[in-house]
Amino acid sequence: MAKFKAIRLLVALLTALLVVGAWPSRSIAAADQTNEQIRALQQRLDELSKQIDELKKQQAAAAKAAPAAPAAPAAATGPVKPAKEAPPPEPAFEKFMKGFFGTLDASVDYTTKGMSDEEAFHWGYAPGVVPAPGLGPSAYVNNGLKVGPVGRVGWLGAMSTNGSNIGYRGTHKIGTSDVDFIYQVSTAFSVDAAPGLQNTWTKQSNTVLGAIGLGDTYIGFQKKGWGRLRFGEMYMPYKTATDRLNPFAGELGNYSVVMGNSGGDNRVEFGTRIDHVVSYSSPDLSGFSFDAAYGFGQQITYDNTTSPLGSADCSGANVGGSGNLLLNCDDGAWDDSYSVDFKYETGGLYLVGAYEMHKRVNRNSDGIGSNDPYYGYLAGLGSGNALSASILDWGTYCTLVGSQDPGNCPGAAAGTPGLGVAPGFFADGGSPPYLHDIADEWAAKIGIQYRFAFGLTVSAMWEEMHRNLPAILMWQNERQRTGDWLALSQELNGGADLVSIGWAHAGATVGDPGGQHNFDPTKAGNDQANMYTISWHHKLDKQLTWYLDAAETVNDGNVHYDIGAGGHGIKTDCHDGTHNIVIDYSSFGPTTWGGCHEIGVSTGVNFKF
Amino acid sequence: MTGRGSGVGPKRQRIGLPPAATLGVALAAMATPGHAADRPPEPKPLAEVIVSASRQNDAVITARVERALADDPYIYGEHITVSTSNGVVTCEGIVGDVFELFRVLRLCRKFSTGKRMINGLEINAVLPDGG
Repeated sequence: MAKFKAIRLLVALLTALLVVGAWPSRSIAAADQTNEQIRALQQRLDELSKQIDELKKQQAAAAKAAPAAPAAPAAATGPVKPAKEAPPPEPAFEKFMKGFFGTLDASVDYTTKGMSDEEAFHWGYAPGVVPAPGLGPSAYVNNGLKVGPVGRVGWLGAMSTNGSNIGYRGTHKIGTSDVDFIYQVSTAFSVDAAPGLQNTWTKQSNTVLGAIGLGDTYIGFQKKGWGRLRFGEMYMPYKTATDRLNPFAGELGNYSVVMGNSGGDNRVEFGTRIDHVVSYSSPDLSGFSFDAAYGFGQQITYDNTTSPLGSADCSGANVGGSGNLLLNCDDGAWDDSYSVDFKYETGGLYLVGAYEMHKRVNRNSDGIGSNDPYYGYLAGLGSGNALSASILDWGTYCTLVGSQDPGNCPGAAAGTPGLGVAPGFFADGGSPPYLHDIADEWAAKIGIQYRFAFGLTVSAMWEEMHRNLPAILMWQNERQRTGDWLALSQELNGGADLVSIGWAHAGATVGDPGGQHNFDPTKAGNDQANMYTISWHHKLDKQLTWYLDAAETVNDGNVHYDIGAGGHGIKTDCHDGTHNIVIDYSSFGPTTWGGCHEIGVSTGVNFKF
Repeated sequence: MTGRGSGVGPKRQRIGLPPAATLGVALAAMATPGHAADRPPEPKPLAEVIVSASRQNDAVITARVERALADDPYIYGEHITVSTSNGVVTCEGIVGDVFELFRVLRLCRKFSTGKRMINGLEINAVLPDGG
């Protein structure tokens, strides 16, 4: 019995050992088996995933390849199968996102105004000379040196945002018709500074950088074969028709410094965005097409001295009072405007002609602070003189100076300070604006572009700008001149690199209001300018471009073209660092210097989406 | 209950009037001259065939241009729409700069079998004005 028990015990022990010993091995084996199954499943899943991806690719390729199959001969008979099946509906979100477009562009610049060695003089008529416009150099005498340029007017480093923008556009098919409702909203913004009003020490504007609408924004209708009708705020055809002739858009030395820029300042009168515009674009007519636009002036005054109804700024940009001037839109504001272009394109050839009219442009403020001796002569004649009273606005002047000038303002009660402006006819003090310096301004241009098969593009343009002033005011008409533009662009390395050179020439104007601090009457007519630009663009991929750009503007003594107008964020212009700490409407403030010689180098990146 | 199953069976063997009519209309619409041999022969709609073939050519061209735009290393074609009519390619939409414009125009012209192509491209130039 004990032996039996021992055997049973031994068997039980062996069994236990066997179980204990076998259990882990079974567990491991089971685990191995499970892992193997998981691996197999994973492998199968991977294979399935690959197959799904492959199927997707094949499906996408089939959708593309279906129409790429050899086309049936035109004369073939029998039923023609559909070229391809209708593509699957585009996901709504993807379709929505596709409506966004824009550009991010920032550069580092190193530029100089090139006017640190400028000098200015007080000029007057020589004894015995009867003052009149357009006299020779011997008619003038130098009455002494004036203050030189103020501030840092030499080389300066800067970071600049150039044409960065974001927009959204789309179409909406109207019912079952063939007509589409179209829309676009956009804005320009800075990538290197906080958003805000576009105010600098040289200008004041109510438009907000970064706010929706600071860019072409419109609604409209289009139909294939009919063209496109738009209503909104947008660039006019005069500008857009020749955008393609400007390989330096947004950069230093782009053509807007001279072309369409009647005064040589930072505003480009015939290249600006205009409010309240209705615009029609024709369809292509055997290579011909045209655009026509009309801008509602929406002026409540006869002389356009208020901002257009519904606008934040005067037409032509800036608010009334910008530049420490009167609270009027009299620094280039216009009433109605219209613009038209005609284009023809065939092969590599592009021909374009364009015309734009600004009605009743008010430039009365050009008189305030003028440094032209003839203006000084007129002012010196006094308010009682018929000639002077027919050209100068003594009423406004007396509002400025009150009883401080009893000779010219006899109606002002003694002790009336006016607006607190001291009398003075040669800047830094109150002087009369013009009375009727309001006239139509128009510009016309023709351009040609040819793209050679080996990657060279040649662009040329000629322009004429006019201000239809009466003869009595023509001596100070700086808005009437010609302009020339030539640009060559060569693609290199299969299009990865693009090298461009450009030259712009501003012809002599018929007159000069003498606004620049160093106006020199002995050099009347000496007011031409040349601008030279060179750039290298390197495409990093479809969306990203690196660029290096350099420009130089050589101004004659009485003109002041810059190297940044028309799109470059930081304008290197001919203003010195003078700034006013009070607003007295005397025009005292940033001082413009003729004959400045700007040079600049800029490098940056441009990303499109 | 087997009514559901037994009820379905016989119905499957029979086609109701509306589906039959629909099928008939569809077959009639899809019928080709070969399928209607018992009917008197009709004149060949030659002009129609030419138009259809031309449309296919246009689709082929459009697809080729779209592919070329997608394959080009320096063209961002997300905002470019391509269409073709009688071999004349129309490229519309937004391009980023003049260089992209020229490149797109060259591609569109390359594939256009018509005498020309139609340029409906705009350069995105939203530039704040100076003062």
